[in-house]
Amino acid sequence: MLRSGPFTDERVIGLLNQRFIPIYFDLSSKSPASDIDAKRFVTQLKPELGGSRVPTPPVLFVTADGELLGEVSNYASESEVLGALRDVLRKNSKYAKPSDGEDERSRLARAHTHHYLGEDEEAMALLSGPRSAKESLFVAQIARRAGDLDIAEKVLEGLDSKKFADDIALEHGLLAFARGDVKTMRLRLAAYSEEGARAPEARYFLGIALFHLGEHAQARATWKKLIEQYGEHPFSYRADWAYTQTTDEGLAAERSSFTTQGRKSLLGRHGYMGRNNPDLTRRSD
Amino acid sequence: MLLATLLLLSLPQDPALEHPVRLDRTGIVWALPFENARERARLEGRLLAIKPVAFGTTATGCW
Repeated sequence: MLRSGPFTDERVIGLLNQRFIPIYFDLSSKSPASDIDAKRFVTQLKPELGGSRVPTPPVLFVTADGELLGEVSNYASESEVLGALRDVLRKNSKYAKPSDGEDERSRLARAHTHHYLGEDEEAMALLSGPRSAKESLFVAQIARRAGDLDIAEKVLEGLDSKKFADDIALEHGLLAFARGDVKTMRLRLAAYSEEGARAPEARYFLGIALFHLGEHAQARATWKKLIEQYGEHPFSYRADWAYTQTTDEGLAAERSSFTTQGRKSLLGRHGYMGRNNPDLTRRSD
Repeated sequence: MLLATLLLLSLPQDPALEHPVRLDRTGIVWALPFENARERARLEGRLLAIKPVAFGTTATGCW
C-alpha cells in the first residue's frame, strides 16, 4: 500500500529524505531484507511484532534512543501519511531543523522543502516576483494541491505552451481530475509525449481517466503497458495496485488486501495494497 | 594475484548491494543497515522512520 500510494507522493518522499532517517526491514529472519538489530529495537517498542503471525506493521517514528513519538498505519492515504510526518515534526521540533547548507540551495529547492512541511505561504513568498518556468509550474502545483484550481490554471496559461507542453498537459490533466472533469483529463493526458520525464505518471492518470469514463478494459491495458514499459517505478506500483483492484467490467467485486498466498499482481506482489484505491473510488463515492 | 582476490573477497560489501532495497525506485533514500541508520539519526538530530515489513519481501524486493 505505501509503495503504491503515499510513497509515490513527492512531498512524502521529500520529507522522509530531508527530515528523517528512513529504514525498512523484514521481520522474517529468512528474508534478504532482514535486520536482526532493527527487529530487536522494534519488538521492544512493539512486542506484538515479535511473533510468527503479526498485525500489519505501521511506520514508526522513533528517536535513536528508542522513544516512540508517533506512527502511521500501513494502509494510510497519502494525506494521512503526510499529516503524520508533519505532525511528529511539529510536536518534536528539535528533530525538524534544516540540515547544514540547506539555506544555500536554490530558492526553488527551498520552496519545495517549505511545501513538504506544509508551509505553503513561505514557499509562495520565496517564489513571488519574476519566476522561471519551473518555478511557475511548481506554484501551479502548490495551488492545485491547496484547491486553488483557478489560480493554478491561470499560472499555467502564462507558460510557453510549446516549450513546456508535457508539463502543462500533465498539470492540466490533474487539474481536470481535481474538478471531476474526466473527459478533459483524458484529452490533456493523452497529449503527453512518450519521452516526457513524467510519462509514467501521465499514463497512470490517463488510465484513471479512462476508468472513470467507463472504458475499463482500455484503462487496464494502459496500466499494464505502463508496468511492462517502466518496470520498477513508483507509478508502476500505483498502476499495479489499480490493476489488481479492477476487472474489464469495473471495480473488482472482491478486492484483495494483504495475503502471502494466492494470485499475484502484474509486478509479482502478493499484497500490501489495501482494499480501497482512492483514485478508483473518488468519483463513485 | 590469489592474495589480491582473497583480499577483495574479504572486503565488507555495501549492504545496499545485497539488499532488496537496491531495486527500490520510490526515491526514498533508505538507510542501511539499522545500526548505521541509528547512528545517523543521533549525529544528524533526526527521527528514524522505520517501516517493518511483515514477512513480505522476496529476493526481488517485493513488499
